[in-house]
Amino acid sequence: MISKSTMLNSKDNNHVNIDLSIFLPALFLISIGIVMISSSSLSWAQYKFNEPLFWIKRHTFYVLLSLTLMFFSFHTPVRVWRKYSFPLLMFCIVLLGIVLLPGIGIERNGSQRWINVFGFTLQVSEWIKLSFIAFVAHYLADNRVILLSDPKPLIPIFLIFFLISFLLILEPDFGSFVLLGFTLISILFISGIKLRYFLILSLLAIISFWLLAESSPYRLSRITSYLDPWSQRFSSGYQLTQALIAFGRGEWFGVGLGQSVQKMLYLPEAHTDFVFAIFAEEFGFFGVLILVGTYCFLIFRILSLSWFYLNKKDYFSGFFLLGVGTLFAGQTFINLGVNSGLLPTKGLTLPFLSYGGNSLLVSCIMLGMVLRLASDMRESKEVGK
Amino acid sequence: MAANKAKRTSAPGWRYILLSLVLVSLPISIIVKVAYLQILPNHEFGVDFLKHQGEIRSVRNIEIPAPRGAILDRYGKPLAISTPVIDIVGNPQKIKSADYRRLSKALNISEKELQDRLTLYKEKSFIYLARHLSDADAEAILDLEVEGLYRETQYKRYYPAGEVTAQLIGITDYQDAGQEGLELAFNAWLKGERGTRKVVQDVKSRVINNLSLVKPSKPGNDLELSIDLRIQYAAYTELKKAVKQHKAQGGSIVILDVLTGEILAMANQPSFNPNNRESLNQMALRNRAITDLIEPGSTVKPFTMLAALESGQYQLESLIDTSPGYLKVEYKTFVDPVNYGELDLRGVLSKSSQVGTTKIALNLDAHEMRDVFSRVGFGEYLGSGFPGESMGMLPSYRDWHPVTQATFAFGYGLSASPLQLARAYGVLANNGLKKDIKLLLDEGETNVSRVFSSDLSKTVNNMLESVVSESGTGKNAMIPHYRVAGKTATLHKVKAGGGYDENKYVSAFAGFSPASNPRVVTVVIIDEPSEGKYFGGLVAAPIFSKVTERALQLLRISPDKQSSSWVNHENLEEQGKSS
Repeated sequence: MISKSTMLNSKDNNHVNIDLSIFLPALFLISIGIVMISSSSLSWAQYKFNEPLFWIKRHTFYVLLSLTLMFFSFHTPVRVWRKYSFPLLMFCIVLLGIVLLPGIGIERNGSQRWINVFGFTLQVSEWIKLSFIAFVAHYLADNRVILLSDPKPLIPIFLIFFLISFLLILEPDFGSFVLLGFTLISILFISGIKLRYFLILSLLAIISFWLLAESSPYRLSRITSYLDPWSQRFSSGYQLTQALIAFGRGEWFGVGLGQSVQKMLYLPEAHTDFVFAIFAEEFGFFGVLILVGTYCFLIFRILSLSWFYLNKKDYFSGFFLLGVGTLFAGQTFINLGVNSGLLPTKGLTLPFLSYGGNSLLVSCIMLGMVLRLASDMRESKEVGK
Repeated sequence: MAANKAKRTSAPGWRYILLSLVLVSLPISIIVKVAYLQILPNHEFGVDFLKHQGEIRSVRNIEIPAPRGAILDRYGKPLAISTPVIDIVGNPQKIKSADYRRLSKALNISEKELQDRLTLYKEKSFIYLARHLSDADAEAILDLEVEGLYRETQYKRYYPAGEVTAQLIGITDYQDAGQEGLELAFNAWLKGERGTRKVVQDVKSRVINNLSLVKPSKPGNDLELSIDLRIQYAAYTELKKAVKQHKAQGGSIVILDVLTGEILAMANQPSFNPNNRESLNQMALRNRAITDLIEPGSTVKPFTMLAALESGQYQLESLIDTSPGYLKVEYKTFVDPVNYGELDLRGVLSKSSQVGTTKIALNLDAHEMRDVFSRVGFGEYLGSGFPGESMGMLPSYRDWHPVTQATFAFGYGLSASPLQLARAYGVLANNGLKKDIKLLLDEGETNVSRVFSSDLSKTVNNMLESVVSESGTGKNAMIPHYRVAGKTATLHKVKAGGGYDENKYVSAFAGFSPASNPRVVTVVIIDEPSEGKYFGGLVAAPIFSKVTERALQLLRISPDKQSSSWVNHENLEEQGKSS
């Protein structure tokens, strides 16, 4: 490990200092993910493929691959990401366009989000999160001083954001769009642009959100059915009511690991977007508190790291960490909100926990970068002493 | 300006705090929402509501099938048993038309037939697609994973003795309830009580978890019959052979145990295979031995003799002049086949003389004669509990016409089932004691009543024994090594429009053996023998002989007749020992 890291980082050596307060919570979440996917996918896999271990095998593979990629991103200096963020983003945008091409993009459950690359299904909307945050951090760090008085440099960011949004909504992947918008607004807010610009942008975002929602009956029905799922429990509200029943069955301490009834085909595909509902059924409110607490702690650690870098005037690192923190926070919130009926149904995974190889890979690469920055911070503190 | 700018380049703390507040509100809102779903009571769509909704969807009370009790013979040999089988049921609303081809192939019916059935019942949510399958066959169909198919455990009735006991045991209907025979009569005793258990099911109605036993299932009780299956087999085999040989319409054999009043065998022809009802003939369902009435004819003559002896007007040695072989009573003439001349009572009985019987009967008090018939159980309910049991008819008149009285004396104008006839002969066999008929084992105390003096009975039995002799009409009923007492009968069948059919007969024989110490009563009835022979002594008596001999052997009854060959054999043995 040490020799490898010194080889990879001939200039910035000694980067083996892993911040356990970030790594262990993430590892805990990944472990729960393996357990919950095992528990929730068995019946469904048996029903669909007559092979109960179908998703467990795949998920285990993705976990191993993700940890490997986390290792590499941990050993990649941050300036490399900064340097290549724009080409990386352009590459992802091109792929996002390719997803939409008929015959190439793979459609599932009414959304065209995937392309097949050597047998591996690539979900570009997950990868674009990483490249977009890196690009925004890089761009704002470069133009920060100008932006404080002049909003003009914001125009390219918005052009790119609108292009990405347009492509995402065509898929459709409304959830990723909302998530990217939320992350962008958070970074802009912290970047220090004038409040009136910020308010105008926020207003624009809210208006366009509503226009989008109104424009599609499919989205509208999802939004309305979540408000009163029980009136449509046999049609559009089916999945949500089944998820809510899972929560209700859980009560304080849950029905016990593996004892969920709702995963027995009542709640279809529980291992992807509704793994939290099954978790809540099997571990109860007590388990939910521990899980939410773990996410809060992890995100708090990332944001406090961001705070450190911003104060150190390393704006790229600061904005990037802020973006990753708010992205995790937003995505976790949306997934848990959807599961518990607080938010309309969206196809967003739960970071580190859900099945879905792309989400896990991207989350782990980001985490590798966060760990790298945490390690850098410790070193600079030691140097400072 | 420079200072200001320098201040603004550092991270704006209040914005960071504001963003943090926004972010903190997210998990809090989640926790509050989840708390409503999981732990806070009395919320409209809260935990109680959700748990209830979950139970509505997944908790079911399902039935536990209970097997029907077995029907056994006196030695515990099974006559009717229940074996678990699988029914495949389908929900026509859930079976997709794309699956029709696969499903019809597995069910071994044409695709069109399946489609027609599913269309016909498309409003229903439950139809039987295949019934009474073995576990392996059922799983082969369920393995297709066709939507809307389920399995149900049922019990199929199986009758090991098949047609041999078919009418006696009866059959059950498609819901495992008694439909005919003892299955119907003792349905309440035999039927199992289905239990209920509470389970959790998945969407496919498969049981995931047993919650509790609501009501345990109770298997039905076994029914032990007095029937001896070995004797039943012998009786049935001989009956079937005879019915075929004489091209008869049908027939019955009843065998009683004299000591206990138990029915040892009750066989009928025509019969059916209760295990395969596709070719079920309604006529074959009747347990003729209990349900069908015949006019007993000459078989009642011993009871007429009893009445004569009891009246004191006649003794065994009393001579009756039957010449010239016919006797005109009012408008009717009674004829003997030949002029028998003077006959004593034994002769009247063994020749079965109409003239002699008529002369005796007309000297007797009609009411007293009827009373004798009544005492041996004619016209009296049997109490077997068997469905469709016939009481028979024993008419009573204020004024008896001489013709009515005379015909009554030789068994016309009254009717009885073969079982009633057997019971009446049982009274003779028991030397005047009447015992209740029993079809079940261990039915408790046998009801015994004396209806005749032992001496009178013995006298009549002695007369009956001479019927079954080389010179009597019943000589074909003789059994090697055993003495037999009995009586033949050849009856005209009643025509559909009234009156008697001159060409249609019923051949009968009733008797018991060993005559010195009777153990079994056997009644043989052959309906419409049409292969030339029709006399009871020629058709029914040989069957009696074979069946009764077999029964005596099976019961290990000691022989009471020393036939010459038997003595010789024993002598030879003794010689062998001594030499």
